[in-house]
Amino acid sequence: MERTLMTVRKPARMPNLDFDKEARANLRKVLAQPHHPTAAQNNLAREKRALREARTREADALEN
Amino acid sequence: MASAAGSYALEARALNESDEDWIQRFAAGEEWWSHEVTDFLRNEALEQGKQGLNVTNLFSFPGFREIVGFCTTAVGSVPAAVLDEVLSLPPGVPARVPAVLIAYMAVARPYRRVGHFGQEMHLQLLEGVAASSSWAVARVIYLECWEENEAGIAFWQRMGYVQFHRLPAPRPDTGATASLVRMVYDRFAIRP
Repeated sequence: MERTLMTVRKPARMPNLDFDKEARANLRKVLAQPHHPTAAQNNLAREKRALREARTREADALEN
Repeated sequence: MASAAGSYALEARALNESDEDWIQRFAAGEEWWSHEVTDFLRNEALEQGKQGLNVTNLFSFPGFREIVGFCTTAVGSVPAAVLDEVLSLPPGVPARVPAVLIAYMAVARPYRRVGHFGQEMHLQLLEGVAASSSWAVARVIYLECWEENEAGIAFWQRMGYVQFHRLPAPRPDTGATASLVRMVYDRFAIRP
């Protein structure tokens, strides 16, 4: 009888959203920090600025 | 993906079968956690995307197919009961707080620590989440990073993520117990 050798590979790990009591309490503390819906756009603009400035610094360093 | 800031060096595209050769050439690095990320892209990302479990975006220089980095995301949620005091939610609505999950993200070994490509990929992700909010919304972005990957954790902290928990998990290579750090980015946080 021909036998087929099969390998069973473990599937990749995925993020686990089953939070225990401690994780829930800690997450609540993080999200209790000052927040507002309009902050999302401000944060996005800030990240764009940060990237632009980082690349400018890098380019300047290369020139010098 | 269009460059709203006019400063993007990379173009994003959704992974599909035509990228098979390119994903086999991708390698994130030599560390064991880098092998995990590389293995996911090479062996599982395409199939999981076909099944609608998540989406993998590949990043390349305009006009080229070589993969500079990739990011795999999925949607999820955290129970509203966890956060009801914080978010002042009305009883029962919504049942859960929507989240984007970063399952895997990596920059190819030759492009690490140069060019701020990881920072750009994350920015493109944030912009995509904001742009999609007319159809779906996410309050938070959630990810897990191996504690031993100190450079990875430092990167996410620079991006605005806050560590809020650790959990034990088996290493993918040896099965030995290691620690995963849980991190969250609150899109609505007022940052100084």
